[in-house]
Amino acid sequence: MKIVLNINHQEYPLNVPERERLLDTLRKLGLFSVKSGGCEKGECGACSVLFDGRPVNSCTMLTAQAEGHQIETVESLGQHPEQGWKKSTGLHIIQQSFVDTGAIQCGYCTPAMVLVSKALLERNPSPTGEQVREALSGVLCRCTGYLKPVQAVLRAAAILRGEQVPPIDEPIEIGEAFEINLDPGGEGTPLKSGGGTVTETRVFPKLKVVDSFSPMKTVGHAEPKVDAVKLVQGKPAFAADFEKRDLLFAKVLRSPHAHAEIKNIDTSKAKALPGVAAVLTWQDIPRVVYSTAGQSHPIPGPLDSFSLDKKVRFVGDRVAFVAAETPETAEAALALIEVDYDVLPHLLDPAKAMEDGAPIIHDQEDYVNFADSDPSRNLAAEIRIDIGNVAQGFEEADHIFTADYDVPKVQQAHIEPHVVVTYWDEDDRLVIRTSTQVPFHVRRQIAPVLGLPIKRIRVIKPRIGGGFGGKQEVLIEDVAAHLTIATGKPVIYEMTREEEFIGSRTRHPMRISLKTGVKADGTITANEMYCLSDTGAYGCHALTVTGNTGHKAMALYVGDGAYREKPNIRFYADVVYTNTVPSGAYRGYGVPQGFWPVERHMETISHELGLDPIAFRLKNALRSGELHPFSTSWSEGREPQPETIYTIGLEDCVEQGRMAIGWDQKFKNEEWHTVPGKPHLRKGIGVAMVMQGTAIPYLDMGGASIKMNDDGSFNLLVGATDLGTGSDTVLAQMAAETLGIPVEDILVYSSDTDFTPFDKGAYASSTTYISGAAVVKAAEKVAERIRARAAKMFADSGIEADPIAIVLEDRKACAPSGEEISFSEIALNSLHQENQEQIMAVASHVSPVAPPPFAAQFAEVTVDTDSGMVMVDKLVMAVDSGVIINPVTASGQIEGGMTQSLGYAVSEEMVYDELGQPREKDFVDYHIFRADEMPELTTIFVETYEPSHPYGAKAVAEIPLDGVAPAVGNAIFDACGVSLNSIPALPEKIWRSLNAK
Amino acid sequence: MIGEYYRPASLEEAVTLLTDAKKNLRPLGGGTNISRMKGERFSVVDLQDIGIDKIEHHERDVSVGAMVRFDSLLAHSGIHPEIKRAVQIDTSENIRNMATLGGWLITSDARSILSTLLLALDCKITWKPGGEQVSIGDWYPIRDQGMPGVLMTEVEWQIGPQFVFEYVARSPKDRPILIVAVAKWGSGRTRIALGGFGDAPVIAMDGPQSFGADVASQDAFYEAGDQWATAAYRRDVASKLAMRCLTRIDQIMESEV
Repeated sequence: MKIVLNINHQEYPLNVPERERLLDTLRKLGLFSVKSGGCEKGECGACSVLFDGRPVNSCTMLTAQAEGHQIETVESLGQHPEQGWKKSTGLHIIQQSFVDTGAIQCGYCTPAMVLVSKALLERNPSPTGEQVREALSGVLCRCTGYLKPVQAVLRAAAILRGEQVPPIDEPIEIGEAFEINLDPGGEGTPLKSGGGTVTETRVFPKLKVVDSFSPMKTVGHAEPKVDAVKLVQGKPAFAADFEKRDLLFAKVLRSPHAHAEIKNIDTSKAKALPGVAAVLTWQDIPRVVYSTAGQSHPIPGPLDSFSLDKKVRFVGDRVAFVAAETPETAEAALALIEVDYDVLPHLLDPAKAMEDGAPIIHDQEDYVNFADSDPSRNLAAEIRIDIGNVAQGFEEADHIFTADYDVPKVQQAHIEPHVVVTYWDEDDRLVIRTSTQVPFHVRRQIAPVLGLPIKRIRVIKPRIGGGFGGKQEVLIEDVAAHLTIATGKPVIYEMTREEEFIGSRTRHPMRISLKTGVKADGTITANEMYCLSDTGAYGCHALTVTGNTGHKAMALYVGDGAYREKPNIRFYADVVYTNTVPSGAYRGYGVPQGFWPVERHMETISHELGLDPIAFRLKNALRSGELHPFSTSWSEGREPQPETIYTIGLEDCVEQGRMAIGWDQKFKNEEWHTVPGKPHLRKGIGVAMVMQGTAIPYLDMGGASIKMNDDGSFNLLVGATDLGTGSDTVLAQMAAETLGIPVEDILVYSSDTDFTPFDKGAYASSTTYISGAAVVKAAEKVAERIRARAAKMFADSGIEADPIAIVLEDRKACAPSGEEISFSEIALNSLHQENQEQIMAVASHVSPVAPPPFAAQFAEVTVDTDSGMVMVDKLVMAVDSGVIINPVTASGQIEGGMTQSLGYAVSEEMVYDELGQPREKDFVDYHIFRADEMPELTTIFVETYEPSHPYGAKAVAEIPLDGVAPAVGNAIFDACGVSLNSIPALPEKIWRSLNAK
Repeated sequence: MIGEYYRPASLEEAVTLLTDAKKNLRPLGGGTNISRMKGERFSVVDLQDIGIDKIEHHERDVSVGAMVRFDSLLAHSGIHPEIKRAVQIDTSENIRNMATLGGWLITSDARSILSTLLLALDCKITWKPGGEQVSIGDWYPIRDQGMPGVLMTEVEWQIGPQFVFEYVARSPKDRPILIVAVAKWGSGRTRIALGGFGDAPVIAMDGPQSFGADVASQDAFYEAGDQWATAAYRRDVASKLAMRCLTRIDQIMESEV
């Protein structure tokens, strides 16, 4: 049909199919700021546009509905302030506020948030924080926890009203303690100041600065993210934001059965459909066994996967690939493929996986074992770790506590779905543009699957719209690549939201048994965990995720006195196959599963023995200078090496956290636990202590190269993959600090296997620590070359200066005598004038240690004792992540991580019926928190100086996933006496416990 | 899959189009639902220009056009705060800016607070052609079997009764697994609707007084078990929430005296 659309104040005469969605029309017009979350019910809001000034979802609206209305996208707002000779008004104030406040992480939902904010401020110039949250309620964000986006809108509103706003980079430093404020007031409440009204924006976290840390120019400062300006404009920065002539659209036929043999597939009707370019089944491509887990060589797990197989092992497993000229044609072709299945008995209960007579999920001859895997028993991995003498430890205990705990299967739920584009370039090399956390692993692992040598493949990682481990998987690249090989044409494959739920990866569900021996005085004498971990249909990350469950969660409490010297710890695990969607990597990587039981168990023990829950934990917790207890026994599939932990700020974290939440005023205060006039409500407060890791020692390697340009700016090329965390920014900050320049002079590029140095990718909380150290090494080498050349240039001017004594700062080389040479002069000299050379360096880094970050997590809840419904009111996390390179991006990690973990605690789970059919296929049933239902979030950083990192940093990205669920569980116990052993804390579970009393 | 797209300029034109059974036409409200329907080929009649988007206050009731969007409902000063609260829990900002009241009543399931609340209020729905007014309580149980007309034009409810709701969900803005909505008239008439289970909310009680509300709520959800909650849970909590709602209403009535 012919219509005219008014988009961004411009008329567009168009001929569109009646069925076309506004989202598709806008993206075809090149308006790539409008994103697809793969959903079809408007749940995520990434596709938001303004429709006559109000935000709507373009994914559910027909294009025809929009005729006669004004459509606005972010492309109509501001632009980069530097446009050459053409004058630019720069970014819109709302966009600039999002950049300044750190409200942008992956940036996938940012254009939608900016539009929603614009609509709000045009009708209400002075919104409250609550009104901002209402406005943002239609845009799901999995990264930020919404705190900084809300602050961005409030800040923009203040600026638009002509008010002053406080600087962002203004630390809220705390000393030994800071004053508790039990009534912090509402968000965005205008505060009176001497010069007028200043709207408070609280994006800088509370920070206790390490004593030995000297002031720096960029490290430790709230530098804006280096990719923020393009993301806030909605530039075509993501994998799907890509145009290519003759692009084909891929779709995957997925199994309706949990376990079946494919007896026959007839693709003739599908192939005959006009517009279909290729249909591939297991008969059409080589049979190559591999692992989809994106990990270093050799893969520490079984090889049990195939691009396509004649057997399907879960509802959603792959059956066939289709490429067609349009998505609709590809979809129609899927319906024409006739599959004759021989349905097999299926296995859903992991407890029955190793029983005699259980259905065998991997009976193929070409299965490749790793370590103790045994497919004849559905065993993907086995772990047996004994530290000290556990039996003796239990004999010496006065009390033995045992309990079983369960954690559910949950989804990463990144808003950008998995998406990949493949094509042959002019050299007939296969280019893979993909949303991955592990571009170098993708290239290495996919090469044999496609029958190509590694050198014939180039993997490009553009911006990533969130990953959280879900993209540490070689999950989609083969689909598009096989179809490109088959057709010779470029192919795009983008998962739908339903496919994300039924066909990607999840967190491992586990049943965990704990047994703990304790002396009467609260000394832990032995601790034992058995973990039955469900890897689903394939064993990707089976060993390493589950190993981490014990390696971190069972390492924190070693005991006291003599037990501290020689702890008694046992960690056994069986990782089994079931006919469900495979488990895999998910932020926290097994550790959140471990800390739910450990921290609930510690609470039970302290309660039963009448001990103070905080004092009991700290009495038994690791202390600085002690060995990581597992370091001599286990590493992720590699040889273990002893590791001493030098920085543990846990006690300080506890102290700061308990004051921030008002623990001493609330815990055991009966009056505080009640709600006046509402006898059915009970309030509770809980704590959990956690630790994580920082990279994998002796294994994880990051590389970086730095090159000086004519104007004294630098290109920083890293293989590290910023999936929204801000890692590109902190790497640039460390390079800039080392070179004595502002961050804006560092041009970061990541990642492209043809151009950037190797990096193992974004996982294991390693980028700041490993890749960062590589960057600093490269920067130091470059700095050395700059000093040498500067010394020569000084000498030519008759000034003697020892290169070692030359200081690099403010874009200049400064001699001790006070003379200066600018970097641009040095660059021109080196490139054009004298003894020409390219000043550049490459460096890489591997660490012999993995210094853990530590944290104290506090939670406040209100429980409805009639219904069991839990409302989480407040979360406070005090974290020791070493020196904080960028307090705003780091606190964004904590806020977003706590929010994901909040879902783990109360609302998220994936449930299957008796046939293995999944209940959750969208964001309607799988509920992640909206902006307008969030509890209050507080982040505190308690710095330590980690000596193994050039700037003293440790990891920050994963630890916020570990403590929220047990802290909430402990708060529920405090509120109403219900001792939950499983999450999520569903109302009916609590109701059952209350009624069983 | 959508075939043809029509955008009539008047109510009469829309009704004429929709009455033509040969074209397999479906009314298109805000577009939150119909655009994603797959399978059978059908055509749509976009109702945005036909003028059934007014909110009118009368002495004893309020009538809301079927094409009134939720954002308009929220912005209107004459709409009861409890209805606004229901909309805010049921929908996000973006959905409010698209979804219409008529479309919502046709497509929402029992996990909608608004639909449960309007059922408690015994709202009346006007259909074209013919202008027949049908009680929501008569229509909801047979909603799957067809509509009383080709086009819903108006929803009307009385402003006299006091009404409140309570709900249970995994988080404050999650889809509820249990909803109890209670309306009480000055005469003592008490009507309780339950939601959170099944395809549509149900009436638990409609009597001259509130006596037996707890038992009625239990009975109505006697077999209300599914993957989200057991019947035993829903029965017990529904009765407690019903009594809580009645207490709240009594407090409101007392405060008004």
